[in-house]
Formats: sequence, C-alpha cells, structure tokens
Amino acid sequence: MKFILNSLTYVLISTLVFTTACSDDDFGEVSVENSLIDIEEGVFIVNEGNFGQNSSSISFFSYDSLSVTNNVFFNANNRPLGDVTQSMTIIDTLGFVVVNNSGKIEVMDLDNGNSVSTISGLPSPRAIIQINRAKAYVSDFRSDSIAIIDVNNFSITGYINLGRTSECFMKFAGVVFVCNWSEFYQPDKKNDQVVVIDAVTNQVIDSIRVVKEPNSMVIDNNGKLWVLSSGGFQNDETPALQCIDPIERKIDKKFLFPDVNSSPEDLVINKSGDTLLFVNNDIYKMPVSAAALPSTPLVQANERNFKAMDVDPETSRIFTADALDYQQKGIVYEYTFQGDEVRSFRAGIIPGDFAFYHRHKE
Amino acid sequence: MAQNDTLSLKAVEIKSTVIEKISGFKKTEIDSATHSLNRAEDLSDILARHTPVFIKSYGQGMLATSSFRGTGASHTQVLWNGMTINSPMLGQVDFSTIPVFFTDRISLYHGGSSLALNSGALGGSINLENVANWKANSGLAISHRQGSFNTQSSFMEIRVKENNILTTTRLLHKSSENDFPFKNNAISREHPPVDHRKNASFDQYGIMQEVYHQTEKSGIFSVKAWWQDHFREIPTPLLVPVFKQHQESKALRSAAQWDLKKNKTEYMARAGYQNERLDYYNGLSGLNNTNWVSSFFGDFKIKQQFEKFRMNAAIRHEHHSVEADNYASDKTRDKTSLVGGARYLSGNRFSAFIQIRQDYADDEFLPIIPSLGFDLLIARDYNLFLKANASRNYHLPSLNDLYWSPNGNPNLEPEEGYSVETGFMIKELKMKKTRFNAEITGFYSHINNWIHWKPDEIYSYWRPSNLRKVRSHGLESSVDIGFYLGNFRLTYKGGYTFTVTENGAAIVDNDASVNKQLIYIPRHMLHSIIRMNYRKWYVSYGTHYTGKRFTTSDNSRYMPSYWIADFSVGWQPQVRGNRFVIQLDVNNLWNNDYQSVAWHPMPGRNIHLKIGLRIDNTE
Repeated sequence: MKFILNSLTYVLISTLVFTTACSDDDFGEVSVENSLIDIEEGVFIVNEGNFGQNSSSISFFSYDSLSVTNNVFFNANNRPLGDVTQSMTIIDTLGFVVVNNSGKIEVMDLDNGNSVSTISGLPSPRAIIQINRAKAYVSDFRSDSIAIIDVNNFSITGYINLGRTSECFMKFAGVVFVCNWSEFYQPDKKNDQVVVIDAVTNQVIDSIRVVKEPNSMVIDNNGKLWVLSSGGFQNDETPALQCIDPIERKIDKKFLFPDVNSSPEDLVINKSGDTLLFVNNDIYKMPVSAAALPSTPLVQANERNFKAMDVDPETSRIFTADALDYQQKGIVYEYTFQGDEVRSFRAGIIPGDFAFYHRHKE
Repeated sequence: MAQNDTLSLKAVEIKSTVIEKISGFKKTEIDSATHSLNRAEDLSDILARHTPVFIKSYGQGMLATSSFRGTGASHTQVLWNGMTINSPMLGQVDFSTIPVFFTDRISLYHGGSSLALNSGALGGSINLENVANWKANSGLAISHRQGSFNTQSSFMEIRVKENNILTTTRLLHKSSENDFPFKNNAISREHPPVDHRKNASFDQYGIMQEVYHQTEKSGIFSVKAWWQDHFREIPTPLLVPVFKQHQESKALRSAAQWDLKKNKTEYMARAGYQNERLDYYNGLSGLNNTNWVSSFFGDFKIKQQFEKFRMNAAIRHEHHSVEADNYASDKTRDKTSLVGGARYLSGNRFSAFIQIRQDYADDEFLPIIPSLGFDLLIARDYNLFLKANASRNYHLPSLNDLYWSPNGNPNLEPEEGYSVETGFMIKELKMKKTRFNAEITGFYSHINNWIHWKPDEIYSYWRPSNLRKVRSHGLESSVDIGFYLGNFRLTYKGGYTFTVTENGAAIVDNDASVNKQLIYIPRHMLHSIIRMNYRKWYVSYGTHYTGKRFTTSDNSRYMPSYWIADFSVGWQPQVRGNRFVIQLDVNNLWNNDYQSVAWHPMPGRNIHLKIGLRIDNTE
C-alpha cells in the first residue's frame, strides 16, 4: 500500500518537475558515432541511406591503419550529406559525391572531408565521369539529358540530350558510352540502349541496342565493351552479359543468364583487364576469354544480400557490402581476388558504392 | 463538466450501452475540459499532448501516425461510432485528418481492452463517438479561429430539438498557408539559417449531420453522416528540392444505430458505410494516382443481466473493398466475428470479465481470441483497485501488404500478439475539496509474425514478410487531481509512459537490431496540464515531453528528445442568455526547435485567437 502511494507520488512529482523543465538545443537527426577523420590510402564507401531520410553518408576504410571512419562528410562539415547518395568519383584529390534525391553533387576535399563546392540543380543525378581536364558528364535518372560539368569551377556548363534517361558511363577512344537503365520516368521508351557520345563535340553519334536495363559496363584488355543487363524491372527479358565491339558498335558475344528472374549487377574488371567480376546473388569471376558464364561462384552470398561490389585496381582486393535489413549499418566485406575473406566491418546505412583512393601512387 | 467552452455540448446524458464494462482492462477517456479546450485542433494534436499515444508527425496538418504501447501505426485501430476507419490499404490512420470538432467523446482502449470493440488492435484502440445530448436546448453556435502562418478555421453547429427528435449539424472549414519559419539545421548545425516551409498548405471542409429519435417503447435510433474534403500539399524533407506534390481525400462516413432496453435485456444493432477517394499527384513524374476505398460494417449485440452475471453475445461483419492503381485487380476483405462474454460482479469489491472471440477473415478461421481480466478493491479507504488481464490478438496484413503490385506478398500470415498487464488504480478518491485519480499499469506483450518490408534477395524491390518477433513492455502512469474552492477550480493531470519495444530475433545474419528498440518509438514520454478556472476565466498550461527516438534498427542514429509547452487563456461572458467565448492559444510557447520525424521541421511558437458565440433557444 505504502509502496503504491509512494510510487504514485513519485510520478506526480516527476511530471510536475517536467512541467517546468528545459529542453536541450539539439534537434535534427544525430549519429552516436563521432570519430576522427584519418584519410590515407584506402577505400571510400558511399552509403546510400534511406529514401527521404537524409541518412546517406561517406565512410572511409584506411589501408594503413585498417580502421573505419564513418560519417566523414558530416564530421567535417557539421551537416548531413543529403538524401540518397548514389556514387562517388575521385578526380585528382577531390571526391565528386552524387547525392541523387537532393539533386546535387558535393565536391569533397579528400584530405579532410570538407565540402569545397556544391553543384545543385541536377534533377536526379546518378553517376559522374571525368572526360578530360576540364569537363565531366553527369547521368540522370529523371532527365533525358546528361549534364556537362566544369570540374574546375564546379558549374553546369551545358547538357547533352539523349532523349532518354541515363545511368552508367564508360569512356573509350574518344567516345563515351552511356547506358539507359531506367524506364521509370519514361515508360514509353524501352530502356535497352547504350548511347554513344562524341567526347569532343558533346554530340550523340550512335546508339547500341542491348538487353533491357543495362546497369554496368567495362572495357577489357582487348578493347571490347562489356555490358551487363538485368532484363527489366518486371523481368521482361532474360538478363545477359554482352560483349560489344566499341568501334563497329555491334554485339560480338551475348551470354544469357539461366534464370529470367535473376538480377545480375555490378560488372567490374581488374586492372589488367583480363578478368570480369559481377554479382548475381553470389559473386562470380569470369575471364574475358571464357566461352560461357561461370557456373560456380567465387564468393557465395549464403544469407547475405550483396548490394555493391568493386575491385581495387591497385590491390586487386574485392569489396562488397550487405545492407542487412536496410535500416542499420551495413557490413562491408573485403576478399582477395581468389575469393578468400580478408575482413569485414560496418559502414553506414546501405553501402552502395566504392571509390578507391591511392594518393601515394602515381 | 464542459464549463470551459460554451460551444461544446454538455456531458453525456444517455449512457451508451454499446460498450461492455471490461473488468481488469484499461480504458481512459479524454476529459470534457481537455476535449473542449482542443476543439479547434486535430485528433493528432490532442493525442500527442494529453495521452500516452506517440504521434509521429510530418508537420502541422501533415501525415500523423501513431504508436500505442510501442507498436506500429497499423496496430492502433480507430473506430468512429463502431466502424473501423483505418485505411484498409495501409492499415493505419492519418490522425491529422480527423478534427476534434467532429467528435464528442474520445476514449483510449489500451492493449487488450480493444478486444471489447474489435480484434486487430495490437497496441490499442481509439474510439470516437458522437453522442446525443438531450438536455441542451435548440441553438446555434459559431466560432472562428485565426492564427499564425495564415491558419484559420471556422465552425458552426446547429441543434434542433423537437419532442423526441434531436438533430445536430456541424460545419467546418480549416485552411493554412503553413509557411512557418524554421531553423534549417540541414544547412548548418552551428548557425542554422531561417527558412520557410514550402508546399505545405492544407484546406479542409467538412459537414456532419446527426439525427436521433428516442421513445420509451422502441428505444433510441440514430443516423450519423460525416463528409469531408481534405486537400494538402506534401512538403519534401529538408535537403530534398521542393517540388509540387499534393493529395486530396474525399470521404463519406455514415453510421446508424439502434439501442433498446427491455427489462434486463439490452439490444444493440449498428451499421456503417464509408467511401473514400484519395488522389495523389506527383509533379516530378506527372503521376496522378487514384485509390477508392469503401467499407461496410454491421453488428448486433445482446446483453442479459442475471443476478451477479452479465452475459453478452455479438456478431459483427466487416467488408472492405479497394480499387487502386497499384493493385492488379480490385481487392476485397471480409471479416466476421462471433463474440461471447461474461462479467461477474461481487458487490463493488471484485469483478471479473471473460470474452471469447472467433474471427473468420480472408476465407480462414483465425485461432480463438480469448481475453480475461479482473478488478479487485484492495483498500477501501483509498478506493484502490488491483487490476490484471491477459489476452491474445491477431492483426491481419493490410491490403497493400498483400496486393501492392508487384511487391505485395499474398502469402502473409496475420501478426499474432499475446499480452498481459497488471496495475493499480485509485478511482475518484475524494478528500475535502480535493478529488484524486491515479493509475499505474505495467504491460508486456509479444508479437510474432510482425510484418516487415525489406528488399527481396532475388527481386531487387521491397517486399513484406512475417519476419520480426517483437517484445514490448513498459509502464503507463497517470495522476489526475482536482481542487475546488468556491468559484476557483484547479486541476492537474499528468502521465508518464515508459515503453521498451525490441526486436526479439535476427531477421538476417549479423543482424545488429536484435534486442534493440524499434525505430521511432520513444522510450520516455510525459504529458501534463495544469488548469485553473475562476468565474468566467480559465487558463491552462500544458507540456509534453517525447524522448529520444532511434531512426535506425541498430540504434546507431536517433532523433533528440523534445519538450513542448502550450498555453491557453479564455474568457466566456454571458449576455442575455447568449454566451461568448474568447480563447487565446499559444502553442510551443517557448519556441523550441524540434522535429518529430527526421528532417521534417515543426513550427515554433504559434498563436491562435478564437472567438465564438452561442445562441440558445431558451423557450
């Protein structure tokens, strides 16, 4: 009885205290982490974050100290990076971070994470590729044009109309290949083209029909363009890996995936250009000379969901990530080129892209 | 009780026979003074300020969903005169679309007590009722409220009483530019620049008509209809460029009820129909989306009084149908329930309640849903009761969970909840000039098959599955003290709520969310209000505190706590039978910066002035 009355009195007093209490000044989302920035040689991890929640971030894994720094951008600039960060491209000592749903590119000084400039006014930017000392191209999920960026004064200098949306880039012999990955904003256009742009004149000069939803491209040591297509959002076509002659712009070889429902992604190549890697639930490795798709994976996903994958051109280490439930810090895995696990660590929410940084190597 | 506001109806005169008294279970009601003070506000405001329900708000007038006892938004069921008004598509309710003005009584059925109304409310139910007030005369009441950010609302209420017929007509219009200033800490945390919210206006029209007919012989018959058009722009989160985006909901809800008492038997029959059209426009994609939802419900209940027992039996049927652009075809849901219950009453010392429910839904029998509880008077001098109850419950997947194209999962199982609770209650303890109520309740519940959306491993789009196991436990406590001295009245109401809701099992390998608090569920919440009345004046000071909410399942990110105070002062003179009211409300008195949902700013201090007039026909 006494206990009950005492506890009720306690409740009363505590609520009365709160009636006149003060709040702290802090507002807006906060991360429990606050680590120092230590950027040497290593890999930047672009964490997409959840749509509409500004929870994207940049992590850095240092090859020297073998330590991870999360929230690199936030810690350096004391503000969030933005909503849904798609990719990052390193140009000299600057990181061009493409923040899709914020419609901007944050240009980040890689020595300290400081924002050097913000290029805004991009409808739905996805990826950026450096064309030469002066310019870069930015692909767009919603616009039918790609933007031309001046990489020295960080401004939009023009647009190239493709008549369709754009995603990944590949540069070869004076031309730029652009894949048309999404049909979301253009349901009347079949998303099955790789558009060819003259890198000097910024003119569209050709287009190559591929299997629907081309999502990644590489150039191999024979000068062939490899395009990986996932077949469409509703699995309209059978996913395929295609080998294209970039001069003739004709498909030389086409490897169909056995399962129409599969979604192969993240085609990458090693530095010597003789071995392809891609994710099709598991990670596969394939010599460019192979006559068929590999049947046994290099790394088995098991219960994991490999969201991103890339290979460091200098170390040939494979990095991939598992976003887990997509609401917590995802796990990044590092593998040797032979597929042996080296380590794993937690990055940010939905790790989705890697950018390798070798400042000391020229 | 409703002395605060001349525009409100007097306290309920005719006891509703709808709701069975449920011993051992927790039911709380928003008192009439609080109700009338907040009559110009939305249901989301009154719940956030005065109840243990957490309201997750995207801004004034914007989407506001609930978490009751640490559960998800679809686990709070809202009933309007017996009819479930949760969207069958999402399973949840947008509390900012329900004006307090269109309710007469708001009650909260915590946890398992919701089973007295309907199944499916794993967190609890919020019961909205319109009730006849036969004692008031015919009359007209009009009021207008003008406030910050070009926010205005106008209300009109017409009552006509003629012998045994009573009609009430209510009209409402609310609108706001809602371009409030806020500190944009997404640009800089140290020196946030002041920005104005854009694309956040709203405009709402509504009408409600009630007709009651009462005779000794045939009982009470009533018909209620509520139509409303609610247009709102949808602002983007900070750091997402503003674009044109808006939605408009046009809803008609109607309900009919018949109550009859013959000797020791009571009969009750109800039917309801609702139809809602929701249009969504997205200026980026040019997308114009239209969803049609319609629902019907009917129930019949019979109650029989025996010596120490009161038995009841009921049958209920619900039908929902949805025509949505994102469904492959039109979808329907039917749910039929059979309920039997008994209440045992031994003087005023002990009472017990047991209920068995059998639901048949989506062409399947759900397992039996039992609930039982008791009240025991343990200290008569203090009017102190011990209460305890236990129940099981099921929540059906929403139609979006099942049928959204292409991501829906038609194989989902219902979510299954078990809960127990116990507590102490001091009920209406009167000491000299003081009245005292207090309650403290501990609860524990376990939800299996909690539906969770995540990207599918093979298809890259998000799909729902019965993945999570969730444990929720906590404490709800409240006090209510009234002090009276002649014309002076002082009341204090306060409550503290502690909620731990954790993931009980890993849903993926290396899942760091196990044993972590679910996102957007505060552990600590507090609300309190001090109110003083003196002759024609009244003044109130309310505060509510919302603790830290995690935004990631591994609890690596969070939203800071916030503490908001609201102040009101009013004067209500009476001139020749006509009554005036002037009320000044200052919301967020201390101008605190806060966000309920990350990167959706909330308004700072905002001021509203209401003037009203009530003309009564004094015959």
